[in-house]
Amino acid sequence: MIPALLEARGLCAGYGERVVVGSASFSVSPGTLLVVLGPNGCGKTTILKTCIGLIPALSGEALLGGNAVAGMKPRARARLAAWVPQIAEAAWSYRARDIVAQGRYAIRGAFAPFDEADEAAIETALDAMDARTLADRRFSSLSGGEARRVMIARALAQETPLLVLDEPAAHLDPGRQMELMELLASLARSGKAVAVSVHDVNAARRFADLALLVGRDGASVFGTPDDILTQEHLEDAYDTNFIHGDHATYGKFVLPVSRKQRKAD
Amino acid sequence: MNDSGDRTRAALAYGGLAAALFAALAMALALGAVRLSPAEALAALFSGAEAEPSMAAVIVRLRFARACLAAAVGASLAASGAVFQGLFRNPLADPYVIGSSGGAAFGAVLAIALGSGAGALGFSRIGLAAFAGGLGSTLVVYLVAGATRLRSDASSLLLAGTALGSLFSALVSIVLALKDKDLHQAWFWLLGGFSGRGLPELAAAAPAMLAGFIAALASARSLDLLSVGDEEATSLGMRPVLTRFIVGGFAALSVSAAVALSGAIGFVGLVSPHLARRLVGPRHRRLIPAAALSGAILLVVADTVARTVFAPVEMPVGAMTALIGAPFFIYKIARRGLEETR
Repeated sequence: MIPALLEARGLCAGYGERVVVGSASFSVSPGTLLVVLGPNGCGKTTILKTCIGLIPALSGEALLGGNAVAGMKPRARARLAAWVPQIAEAAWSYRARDIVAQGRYAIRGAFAPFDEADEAAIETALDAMDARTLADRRFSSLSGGEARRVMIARALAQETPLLVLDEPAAHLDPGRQMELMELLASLARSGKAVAVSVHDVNAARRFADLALLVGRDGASVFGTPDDILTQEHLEDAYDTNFIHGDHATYGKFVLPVSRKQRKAD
Repeated sequence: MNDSGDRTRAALAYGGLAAALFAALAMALALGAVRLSPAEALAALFSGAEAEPSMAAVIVRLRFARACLAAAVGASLAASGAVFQGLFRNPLADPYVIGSSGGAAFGAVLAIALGSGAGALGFSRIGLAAFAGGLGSTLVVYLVAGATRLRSDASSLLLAGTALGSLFSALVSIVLALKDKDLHQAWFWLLGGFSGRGLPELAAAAPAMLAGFIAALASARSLDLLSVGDEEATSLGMRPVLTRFIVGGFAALSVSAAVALSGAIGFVGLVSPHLARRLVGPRHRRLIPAAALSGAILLVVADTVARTVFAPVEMPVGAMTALIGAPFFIYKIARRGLEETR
């Protein structure tokens, strides 16, 4: 068994007094893709930020490469985990290439000039995201989907063993969504650990090795997609009725059908 | 556009700025009560140390010292302006955004009101008080911002700086109301100028200004990272809050030295970074030197105008920077917008 690259042990995430996600336990090893699912506002972003140390944990702990993330220096952490936020904004008129180059900070530091390895990593990352034609455009002029590709390219240029992405499929058309999920799955196959929040239950089942489903009350379940994305868990988490089907070539799928009457508290 | 095209464009921009600075300096040497041609002025400057220098040589050397002062102060304010705009991701930030001009003005006015005495380290007493006031107010802003625990440290620094700036301008008004015979001398400090200053004062201020400039250049990549916000910058491996305090501290040191030399000259530190960004793009490694050159040009021209246009009455140079800079800035912005680089 490969030791986990990212491990959450009873991790409580939130802001100040407000607990958003209570006591989540999960892990991601090199070579696996973890999806984080749950309704809007359940705390997917919060738990992802907490487990890579961008927000302090309320209780419990997150381990990155075996060390408590709370005690790690930002640069050491940034060499292990790359973060792709949901909203991408940059002040001033930076080119997309400048944004991708930011990914090299963790490796090169604040002062040393870029060398050939840096330039090569930037080019490789741009190619992997099919973003070479975007490289010289102003980042602020890109569409939502284009900006997302540039942000993922920056994370790739960071050359970390772990990638953490917050709803990267939002604003992507179905083709780009499939392309993205295939890319993330292939990154996992190539040995990276990938943690990604998504809304598409079918894509989650199809591409993920592991799933973390967070409910509205902050409780979470973790396991293989087949164990987690069951009728009972899904209806519970989303307050929604799903049809569960099994297609001859696609395999298992679900379709949301109707909103459930929320149980009286 | 490819990388080498980018480099060519930056080289052209730097060449143009250097030529413009040279032209501005030549003009500053030539113009004044005794008018020379630029060629005569340069010849007089490099005429060597005779036992009895010509009158032209004496005048030109005085003008040269003053132009050097203006260039250094302009470069320092403009580079610091670029740093503060980057640190706060805010196009309206200027070198005085964290309160150093208010503190320096208060220090200077207080020293004037209490009567002048001996200086130290090459500075007048008033200059030293201005320097101490500028640095002291920055320290207070840091302490206030650090104590507020606001979620965004950029906002808390900005708010503390603005509040303290208002406090100091109130204190300046009160001191001036009580000691109104000092009004004219204080007025010079509030608006800025170079009369009566020379190379010894510049030499005294140079270490702090140079330290600020080197720190600005060294922080270029960190400033680039801050453009995406504190949280993302943290995820990329830097410490935004610590960086803001250290780099902002060095910039405040440089600004305080500049203010101690010449009073709080406005506008040059606000607009030069924008003009430079238009020429060489937003990356700070190129932006900071280009902003420094732009600031030097603007202030040398403004000072030359200030001392010649209504001669023998000298205008406050701070008024001239805005008088010359504002229409030019508005024309540039109106034509293409703030963000466009070409």
